[in-house]
Amino acid sequence: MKNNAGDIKILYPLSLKELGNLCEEFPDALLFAGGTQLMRTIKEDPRCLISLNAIRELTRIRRKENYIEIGSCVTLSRILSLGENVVPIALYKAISAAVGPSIRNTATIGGNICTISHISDLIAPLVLYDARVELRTLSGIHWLPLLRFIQTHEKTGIVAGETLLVIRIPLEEWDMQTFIKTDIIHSPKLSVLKCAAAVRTNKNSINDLRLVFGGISPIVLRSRELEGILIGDKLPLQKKSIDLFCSELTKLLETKKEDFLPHPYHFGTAIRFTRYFLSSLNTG
Amino acid sequence: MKITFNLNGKETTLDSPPLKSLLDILRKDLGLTGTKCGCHKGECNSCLVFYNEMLVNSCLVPAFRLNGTKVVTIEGFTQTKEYQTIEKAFLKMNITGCGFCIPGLILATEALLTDKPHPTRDEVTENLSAFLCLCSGYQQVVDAVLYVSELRRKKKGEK
Repeated sequence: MKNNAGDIKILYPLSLKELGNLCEEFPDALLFAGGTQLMRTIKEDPRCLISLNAIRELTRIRRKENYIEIGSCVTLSRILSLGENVVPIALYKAISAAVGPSIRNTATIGGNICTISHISDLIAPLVLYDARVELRTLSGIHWLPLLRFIQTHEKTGIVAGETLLVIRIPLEEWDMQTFIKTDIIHSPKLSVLKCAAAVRTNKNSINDLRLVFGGISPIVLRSRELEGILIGDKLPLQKKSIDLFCSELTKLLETKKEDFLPHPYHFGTAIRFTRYFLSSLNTG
Repeated sequence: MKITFNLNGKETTLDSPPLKSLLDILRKDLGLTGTKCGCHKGECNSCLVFYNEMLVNSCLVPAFRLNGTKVVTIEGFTQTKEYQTIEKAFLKMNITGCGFCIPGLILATEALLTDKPHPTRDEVTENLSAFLCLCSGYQQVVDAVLYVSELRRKKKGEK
């Protein structure tokens, strides 16, 4: 469906196929999903705008045994409405903490990811669960780990000709998973820290541990090397094991201090969160 | 572009640039100034309206998304019986102040109680935490929402 509105051509594709054709025909078209970011930042009217929210494939949620696939144009409120039993807990908490109900009704999961900036609240929990994204580029459609998508797009953001189609989140059993967000609104610029963590045990030993921080720059921090320190450790964790882990985390954060955690308060918060999370494994 | 949508129960047609916000259309084109403009960034929540029965920030809804939709502003909502209990509760709790955020708060209260008729204090606090209000005080607003819930429970004869 097309609508010429003054100088702006507005297109409303109903399927991915239609979207693909339109993107080829109008390579400079502005893709418009929820609009919560674009409506704030757009300075000039585009010549062509493609509205994404009627595309079936981008607005559906598919739940399989081992994963859930969420179309990039699914709103945050729709994801929350699936409930805590379906949505992985850290992601559920992140969406709840991200914005108020009115924004959740229009903001989309894809939009939150594609901002690729510190204001994205969902990147940290999605990286925690090893989410993957399906991306349409000029060379075709392919899957990419979200972490790699973030790393490759950190400087550029999503570029013309690319469309984020689907986010696939593995559904795994976790013994404990959590998310916190802290804002400092009085620093020179808004400073936000997101912490996400999850642990799985097997026969009272740590089988998998994940820890992700979201901040200003880099967008997200995750170290598999650090996570591996406690793999195989028996519960309850010894104080010296927690101390060692936190000491290694401190060293890691020190190396990132120039870019990451711009507000000094966040440095301590990241360590305290980690210590609290690891200690809570002993008490359940 | 030509836009036709249902505004407060009436079919409304107008010409608008496609990216003009619903907020600007309401206030500047249609003179419905009950919907307030605080930040134009979706942060202050003073511009809330119901859009297809969902609470949204009208400053973030572009005109091209309006065709065929149903929009209810504070002017339309005050004509409903649901408004009566909210008004009663807000008056009882002395939520006056400058009044700038009140239209948004009223619509947010209705949205919350539609979704959760009997919320806890924590749920109300969390739900309304995105509001910026400098003069009426947050606790009274939370008290008022809980009072509305109580009034409606009594009205329905629930225990």
